[in-house]
Amino acid sequence: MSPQDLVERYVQDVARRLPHSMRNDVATELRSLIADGLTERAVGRAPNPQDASDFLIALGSPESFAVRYSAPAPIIDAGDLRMFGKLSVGLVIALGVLALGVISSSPHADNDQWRVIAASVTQDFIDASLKVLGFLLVVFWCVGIVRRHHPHDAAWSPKSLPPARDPDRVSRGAYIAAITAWTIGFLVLMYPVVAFNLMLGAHVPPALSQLFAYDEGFSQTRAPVLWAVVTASLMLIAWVAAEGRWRKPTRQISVALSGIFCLVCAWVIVLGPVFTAPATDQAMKFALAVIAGLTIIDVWQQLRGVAPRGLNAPVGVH
Amino acid sequence: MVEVDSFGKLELELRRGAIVLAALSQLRSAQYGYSLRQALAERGMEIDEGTLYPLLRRLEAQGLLTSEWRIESGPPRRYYALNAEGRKLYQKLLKSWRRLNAVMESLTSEGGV
Repeated sequence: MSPQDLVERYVQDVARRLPHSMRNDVATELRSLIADGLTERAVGRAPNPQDASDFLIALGSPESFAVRYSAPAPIIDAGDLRMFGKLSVGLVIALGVLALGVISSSPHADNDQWRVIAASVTQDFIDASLKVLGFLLVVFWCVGIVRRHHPHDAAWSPKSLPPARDPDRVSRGAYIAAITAWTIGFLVLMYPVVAFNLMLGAHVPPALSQLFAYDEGFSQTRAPVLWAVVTASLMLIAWVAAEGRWRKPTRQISVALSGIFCLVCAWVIVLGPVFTAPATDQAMKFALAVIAGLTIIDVWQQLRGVAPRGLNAPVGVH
Repeated sequence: MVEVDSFGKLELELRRGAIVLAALSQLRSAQYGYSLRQALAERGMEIDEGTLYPLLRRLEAQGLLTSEWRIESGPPRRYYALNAEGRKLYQKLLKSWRRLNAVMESLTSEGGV
């Protein structure tokens, strides 16, 4: 290949990576600049292919060279990377646990049928994960664009900073409201048909009752364990609200309970149906998987944050 | 190995801002990419072609340079020069650079390293 061919390939490869408006201009300029550079290298002789190759290698790959023509704009702002990572991992874990639950609890006649179900659910899991990641990517990308176009720096003032908070202190009002809401939700979850009777005045359509009828296996084995763990967690939160702050022992119990809760959720999801109706069963399992995924992230953060929290805590707290 | 890598990265950081100022300093008169690189190299500022040529376009896009095609001897060449905005910015950057240079001189001589 002649040096001219090599240079032309390089120039065209760079140009095709640039916006249309500047392609021809940059290509013409690049040809003349490379010609100047090659003439300098091949003093008193015509440039050979090795001169051209060495020169182009020094310029860098067409991709990296073309990138330098524009100011870099990140797809995800550096400040958003952690949040993006957490959400991505949490949602993919939740989908994975849900997929396992669906595979393990789907009725099947034989192993071949089970393999077909497993392959189909795995494919659905991959598709759903890619869609979720793609959606998150677009959301974070848009957030970054909006932030760059409407920076708040000019209007920012130190007075707008939120008050410094003690990470162990809790708002009793907020905790009591949360405990009340969680307890009501928990009771509805435990006795859905009774809750519907109360809300609808004992005129619950049979279809609705069937939709929320618990699987017998779940009611007898897994439900008591799940309800026990949730009850223990609610009691712990109530204790913390009464004390008005988190302490080291309550933090440790919380981490342990969260870990147990995740394991129990996985056990509940994987071991069989929760509701007899497939639609509510899958919705319930997905909700459990999401909660378990978020809880895993919370546990991980709490475990990582033990030392800094202790070091940063106000004097005399522990 | 770690020391060599760290030096490379930190030197790159150090040079990044200086490269822009160096390029602007030589564009008070019109230059094309290759002649600008030569002018900088002759004064001890070696800049890779892959860094310098795209930089000229970016500075032009920022409204600091004007450019025009000229055909003299050899192939057509695109000449760049500071415009009014670029000259003002260059003077500001130069003042800032000199202040920083004086501060760094003072800091490093106090350290006695």
